[in-house]
Amino acid sequence: MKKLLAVLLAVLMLTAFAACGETAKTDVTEEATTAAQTVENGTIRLATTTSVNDSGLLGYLLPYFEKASGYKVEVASAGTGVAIGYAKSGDADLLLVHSKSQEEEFIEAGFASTERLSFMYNYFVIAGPADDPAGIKDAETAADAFKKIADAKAPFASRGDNSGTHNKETGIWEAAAIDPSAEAWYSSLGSGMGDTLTKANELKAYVLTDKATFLSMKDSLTNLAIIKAEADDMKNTYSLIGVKADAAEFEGKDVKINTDGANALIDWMLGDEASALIKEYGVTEYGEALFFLLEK
Amino acid sequence: MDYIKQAFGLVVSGDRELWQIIATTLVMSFFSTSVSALIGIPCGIAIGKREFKGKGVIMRILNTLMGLPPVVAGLLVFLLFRAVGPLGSFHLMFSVPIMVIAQVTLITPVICSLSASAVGERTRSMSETAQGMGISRIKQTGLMIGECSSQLVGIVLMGFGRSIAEVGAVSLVGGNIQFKTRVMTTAILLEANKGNFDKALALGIILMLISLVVNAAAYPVKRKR
Repeated sequence: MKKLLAVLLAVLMLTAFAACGETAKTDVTEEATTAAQTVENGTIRLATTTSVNDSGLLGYLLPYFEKASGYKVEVASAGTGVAIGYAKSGDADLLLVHSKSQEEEFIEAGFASTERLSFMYNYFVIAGPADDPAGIKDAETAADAFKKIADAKAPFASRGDNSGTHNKETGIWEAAAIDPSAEAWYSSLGSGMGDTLTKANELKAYVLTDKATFLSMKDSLTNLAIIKAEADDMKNTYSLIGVKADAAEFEGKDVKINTDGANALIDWMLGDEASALIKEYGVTEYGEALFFLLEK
Repeated sequence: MDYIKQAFGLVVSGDRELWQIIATTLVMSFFSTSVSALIGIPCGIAIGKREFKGKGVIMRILNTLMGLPPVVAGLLVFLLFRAVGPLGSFHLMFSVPIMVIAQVTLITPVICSLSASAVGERTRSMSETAQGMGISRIKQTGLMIGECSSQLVGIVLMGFGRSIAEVGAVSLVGGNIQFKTRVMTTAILLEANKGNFDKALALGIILMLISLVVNAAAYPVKRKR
């Protein structure tokens, strides 16, 4: 038995190290080519929020762009706050985010090389227990729905992480003129979208979520259903913003912004090829499109 | 049981991305641990071997740094190395080297402090005998390292464990970029966030297996002494 275990371990170790050695080599060559490309400005650094990345849209779109243009796009995904922080630090060439107030603040601070290029949207939805204890199904707007939740003191799960989705939620509470932060039925979870949905499922709570993440997790969310969708105040707009190479903050610093690359990616994202691809995204998997294009 | 099956399925499927993630994880952890050990162990021995004024203060600072939250270490390294930061001209953001730097700030105090205590304990029992036998200082240090080697290997393994399991610092300075800076822990976090709990757990099982293999490889070295 011991011998068997030893042999098994040895085999595992060998494969791991062999694979490591092999991939480490490709890593080095990859790094070398990246470095070479950086000189020729072939790498574009895109900072985006986790919810954009988690929906899988970029993994689906970018290979087409990379193939067509020869650029390589490195997607750094973090919460909206951190993503914008990367751009302000000169460590991103452009942003793809969905938080209007934070975007406007970024532009006002003089970091943007473009205006706020809003190009696609989808809808947030309110998910909750299927029997809808607060009766929000027929609410006119999201703000009305939130009022009903507060009146019923029904459990509500919030991202609480200063993400785009969290900002949207805060905005709706403000529109409803309610401050739920100290209420016992309100849980500020401080976690990502997937995590928040899982916890809401356990708490049998209402939760504001983007539709793509909810649909992709539907099978594990046994206690939740989409209760309220597509009200006017639940629109979720995605924008691209280029980072200005000569922003005042970057002066005298060794900041290299790939403006050409960022512009190429922006042009492509706003162009016909990307539009057609975005329209199709999710149709085969979920039976409906997950993102819609804004009228130009 | 299904999870374990899926984990093995993932491993044998030869998924290129998975192997890249495993390789990046191992390369990062190997360098983080080696650099931390190369700095931490000599410092630890130097501090542990003798008594001097201010030793207590140094040990207390080291012990405090042992509890440094990974995110804070990541944040400090991020602020130093971001393009507008004081060391921005190195252009290291979102690369494996900067992940190693962040982890070294995290692990070196742990290795230093633990090896100082390990050496300190032995010193008391050894130095009298050694002095009685008239052994030189340099030889004493050599003997000491031999005497403590089992503990030192254990300490280095602990550093490796901390490195491979760490997520806060590497996700902040690494950016979790696919095919570049994504490692096991950030991949697990990403899959969990996406709601792919099965895949996340399968990755977790693979991470545990890697740890097991590394520890098993080090065990005979530790045992011999």
